[in-house]
Amino acid sequence: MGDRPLHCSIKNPILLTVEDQKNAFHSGCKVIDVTFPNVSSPETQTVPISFCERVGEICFKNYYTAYVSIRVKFKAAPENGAESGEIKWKTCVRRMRLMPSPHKESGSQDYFAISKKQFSFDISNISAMRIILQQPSPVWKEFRIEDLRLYRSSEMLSKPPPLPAWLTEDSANSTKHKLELQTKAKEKGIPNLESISSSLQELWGLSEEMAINQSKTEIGRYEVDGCYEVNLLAYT
Amino acid sequence: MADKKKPNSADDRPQETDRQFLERYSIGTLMKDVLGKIVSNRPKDPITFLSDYFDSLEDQSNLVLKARNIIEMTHHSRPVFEMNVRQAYDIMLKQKVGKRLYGVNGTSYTDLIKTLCRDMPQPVTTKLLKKIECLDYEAITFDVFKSGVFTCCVLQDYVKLCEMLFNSLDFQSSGKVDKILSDVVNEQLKAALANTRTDARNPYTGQTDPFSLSIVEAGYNLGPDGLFYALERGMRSKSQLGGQTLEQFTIEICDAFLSKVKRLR
Repeated sequence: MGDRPLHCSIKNPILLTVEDQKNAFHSGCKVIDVTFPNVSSPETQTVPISFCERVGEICFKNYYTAYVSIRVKFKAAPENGAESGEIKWKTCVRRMRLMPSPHKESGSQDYFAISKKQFSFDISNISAMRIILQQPSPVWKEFRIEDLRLYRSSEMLSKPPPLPAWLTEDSANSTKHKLELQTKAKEKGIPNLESISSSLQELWGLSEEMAINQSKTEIGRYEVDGCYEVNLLAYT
Repeated sequence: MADKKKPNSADDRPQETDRQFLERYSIGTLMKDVLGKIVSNRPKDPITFLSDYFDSLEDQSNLVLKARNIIEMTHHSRPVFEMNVRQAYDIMLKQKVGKRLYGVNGTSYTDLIKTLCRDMPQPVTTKLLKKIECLDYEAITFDVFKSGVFTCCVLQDYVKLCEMLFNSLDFQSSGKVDKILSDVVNEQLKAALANTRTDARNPYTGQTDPFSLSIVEAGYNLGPDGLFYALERGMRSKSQLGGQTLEQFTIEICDAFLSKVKRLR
């Protein structure tokens, strides 16, 4: 489950501005809205709402963003089954520093993974998420995050498959092992295990060499179902 | 003095310079050719190479034989092999196929394959031809020609190696190999060949199949360790399946090779 990212729709970042007629300035703050696939629950019979059960990890690549905050909106708890309850935005990650110095390059194009440990609380049962990017430095013309992915859990649920025993055998005993094997083989009546083995390996090598050099061109046959019949040839 | 002016007299001959004598039979070009071939092919045994070359000069009329001799001049692993194959193809292009039509068609291609495989057991050749044969009237491009010829040359090596393997397995030098052992060995080889697929990397996703571990595993199965365990398992079974001659053994082992030959579409 931790391997595949969660389905979500990530909107384009919106630059927050403070404008009035005379002054418009670059606030250096952008918001990315993330919504989840709509799930209709039996309680809210009116409209299916976006819903996510759990988010364990958030991964992205930075592009000149200095600070990132994450706020989540919880699924409204319906009151009396009719109205939706209060919708609250809670800050999950507060102003996490991505670049040690906003004017300087370091951390500007790094990959980040925010895990459960960095969340203020466990993200569960949310309906939306907002990622707030801040870049106070006027040096950078543009800032954003790329390749944003959410994962359900940050632990790998499955262990990698164990290696076969012969792969991990101790190589220090190899010469002794070889002699042992030869004597065992001689006892069994196989006098020249090594030469059989090397012949087989050469055969294997020859076959592979031949297989690699097979021609990929088609001979240009116009057969249809294995037979060549002029009337069956298509006009295309 | 008068003798010298008579033409066609036996006495005239010694007056001809050496140069004219050589030119009469175009020995010069012949020597140049053979020296060129020796230098580019670098045979291990130049004297045998020379004698084979002069022997083959008599087969000049049959284009297929001429082509075959050129192809067999050097081992398939050397870069000169490809040049020789190209030369052979050019020679076979002169074959008359129809009215005023020249080229390499299915019949001459099949003839060449058959003569290249003359030292192999007949069933092996038949199976190989089933995979790479072309219909008589089809035109053979150089690519197809090269691939078929290369397969034959590698198969020649393979068959020779089969014989060596047969001799190693023939513990009592009786001329026959226990069928059980031969089956075990065949199985190991087939497993190794099945594991190592040639189209490992998926070009669209860029991901490799579990390819690298298979090669290691296949190598282990054919190494002394894995082979010993497999042979031991085979020998433990009490069944007596009789012996196999060299030819039967070769035919079975060649099955593994032929499974990797791509069928022509």
